[in-house]
Amino acid sequence: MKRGHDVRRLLRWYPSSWRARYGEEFLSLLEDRLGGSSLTFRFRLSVAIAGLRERCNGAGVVGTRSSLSTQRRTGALMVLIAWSIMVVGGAGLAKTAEHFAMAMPVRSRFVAHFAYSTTAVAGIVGTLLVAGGVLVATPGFVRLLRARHGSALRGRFAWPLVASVVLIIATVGLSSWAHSLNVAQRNGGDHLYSGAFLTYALLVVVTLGLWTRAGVTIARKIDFTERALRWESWLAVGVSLASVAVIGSTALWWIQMGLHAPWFLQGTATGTATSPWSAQLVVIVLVMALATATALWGASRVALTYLPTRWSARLEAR
Amino acid sequence: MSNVTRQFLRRPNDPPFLLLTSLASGSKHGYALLKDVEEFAGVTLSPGTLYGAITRLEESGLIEPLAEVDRRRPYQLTARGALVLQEVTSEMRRLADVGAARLRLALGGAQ
Repeated sequence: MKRGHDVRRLLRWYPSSWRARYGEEFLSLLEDRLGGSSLTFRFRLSVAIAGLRERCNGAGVVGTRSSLSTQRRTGALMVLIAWSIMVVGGAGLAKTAEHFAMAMPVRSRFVAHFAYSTTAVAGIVGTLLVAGGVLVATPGFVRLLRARHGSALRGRFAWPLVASVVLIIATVGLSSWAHSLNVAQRNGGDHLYSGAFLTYALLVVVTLGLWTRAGVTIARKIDFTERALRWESWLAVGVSLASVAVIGSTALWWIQMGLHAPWFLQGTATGTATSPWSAQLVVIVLVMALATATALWGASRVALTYLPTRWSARLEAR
Repeated sequence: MSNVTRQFLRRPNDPPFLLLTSLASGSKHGYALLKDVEEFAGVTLSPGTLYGAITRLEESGLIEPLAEVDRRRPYQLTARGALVLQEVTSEMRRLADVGAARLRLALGGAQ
């Protein structure tokens, strides 16, 4: 009885439309296949992977089974999610790189400055492009609100709004606290403040995640016009290029800091450290790399749909 | 090769090709397909892979479902599926012939 329940639970890896069509016969196959033996981890994993593949195919994340408009929309939304991840990485970099120029010899500052400025400019450009995407989606969103009278969609914004209010209150509280502390206390000297800052950073990530999730859910329901979808597609390609610029210039900045001021990366006194490896920076760059890879994947999904069919079929086949 | 053929059937051990080959001898449900493929090709397909292939083949109109019998749904080849299978097997035979002919030439040259 319990195994039957466990086998049925495996179906949850598949999208609901697929379950409705193939669910029962697939269950019957799983039971036949298992016979008297128990569910192994390998068996569960293979079903989970197949189910996720089906979900990705249906949503247009991979493959060419979904419609072109689904692939474009999904590609653009992947870039939006990627940019949210990039914002988290960028905020981490901004905190890590605070006052970096002061730690560097004057004659070595130029390249590091240039790299950091490029990161900042690419960050601003990417954010403006995302804002442009929101603007392009607005007429469709208004149509959706009118068609559904807003009631069905209102719930989507409840948690993001609650998180935003908490974040505003936390920002005010933390800023007031920070003003009463000196530089050393603000930078790890006061453990209570450090803990509060970490909690605040987590709150920022959660709020950003909730807004992104709400945005993705709503955008999947919007009936985009062909023209709007084309705009969204190319804005997404632009954002993915901004992501490449961000991670490229961040890497250059890191190299420069490693060469000329490794002690800054280690948080030690000038001239005392020689290793450019900082755990914080490794995590930040990994987050940025994840964001860039996701953005490039989404942008390639979008771009492939605009290639002539012959070319895209050839690229897909590879 | 047609686009459908190229899209689904790239290698002789591609699950869609194995399923079409299995269904060429008559309709079968999921478990019977698994067993048959295991027997004639020596390939063990996982249930997820099998149903992924069934989904794609049905969406492309190469196979079609029959009435369910005791929670098991048999599938059969469509006319289009039979045509595609014919096209693929002809192409494979042609390539195998080329390989065999060249191998004979190479062996002959070595003697």
